[in-house]
Amino acid sequence: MQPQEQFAQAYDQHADAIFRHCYLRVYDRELAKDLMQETFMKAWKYYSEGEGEKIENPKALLYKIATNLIIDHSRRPGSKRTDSLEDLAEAGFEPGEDRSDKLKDELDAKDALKVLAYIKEDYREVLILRYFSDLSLKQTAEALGISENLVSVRLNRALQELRKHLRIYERSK
Amino acid sequence: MKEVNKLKHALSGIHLSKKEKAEGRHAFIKFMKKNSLPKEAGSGFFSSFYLRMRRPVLASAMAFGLLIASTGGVAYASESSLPGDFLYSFKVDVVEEVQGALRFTPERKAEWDAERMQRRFKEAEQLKDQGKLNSESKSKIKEEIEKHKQSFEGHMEDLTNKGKAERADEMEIEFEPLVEQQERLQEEWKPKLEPTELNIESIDPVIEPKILPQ
Repeated sequence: MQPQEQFAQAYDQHADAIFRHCYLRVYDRELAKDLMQETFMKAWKYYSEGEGEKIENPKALLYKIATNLIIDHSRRPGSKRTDSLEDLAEAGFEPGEDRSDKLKDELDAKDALKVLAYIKEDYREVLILRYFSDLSLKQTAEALGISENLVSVRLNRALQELRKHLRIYERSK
Repeated sequence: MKEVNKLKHALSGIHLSKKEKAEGRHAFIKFMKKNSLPKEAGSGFFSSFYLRMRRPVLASAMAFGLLIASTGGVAYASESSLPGDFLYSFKVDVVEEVQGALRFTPERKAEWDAERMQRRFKEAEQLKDQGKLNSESKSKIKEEIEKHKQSFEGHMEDLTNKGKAERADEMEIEFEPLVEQQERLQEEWKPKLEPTELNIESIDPVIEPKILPQ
């Protein structure tokens, strides 16, 4: 298969997941779309410039590029992190699907995003990569450029925080 | 782990729409074609040769040669063109426009406009250094700068309409030095009237008594 076809196939397979990964970090649909698109463009450039002579793990590479783009964006002057409920409410995000028919004890996307937003940034990113993007421990470590041990530690803490905030949310209902 | 599953289930609705995905895919394929690999420019032999090369400098030099020979190479070669060059229109009207089309948010598009303005200023400097800055190239650069500025303003309006007035204000402030640079350039390039060119006979006879000694 030609490289272009392989990349187009990778786009078909991973575009939604990369978009979701970006969205769960920036809470802005249009921006997440931009970051997703730029991720694939950068991956192609990386490959076509010869650095990616043989890409061992395309999925981890895509997430690594996306993560770096998110970090670059957050460092830009004027970029605003949506870390609090107030910020989220102001941001007026739209998850993209009406789940109004959900069961009463189910979380809807908006509430889930709010719960997630309470989790510390470092923990949230491992949680998203490991469980929402289904990367292995090794791939998560590669994507973040940290050791697998550190991923495990952060993951444990992320799960503790998630449980705590879910409890708070359920009590407040 | 049931907490994670609960959250995953709730967030499963976050995805691209079919239209968004199709548009994104189309733009990505277009981008790959514009930035094609040397392999797609020519023979299969070169591609495997290129990809196996262990000497990146030589590989880059050969890739450059082949890029120039290919369609994608035109885009690459046009990057360093200046007003008055054969490839300049291709650079500003095709390559940069495509790059702009790959940015979806008003914020990103506006950033690209600012980047393009900076490119034009740099081109003006390069032409000046080379002694090639003439009225034609000045006019082209002025026209392009104005176009980028108008486009930037349009994106600021979009951003404001999307409820991001605060961000638009910040971007306008960041953009201000470029507007000042544009004004400086316009002032510098304004045709100057030499005193010797003044024709005393052309002065309006009504005001003549006021400015000329009797």
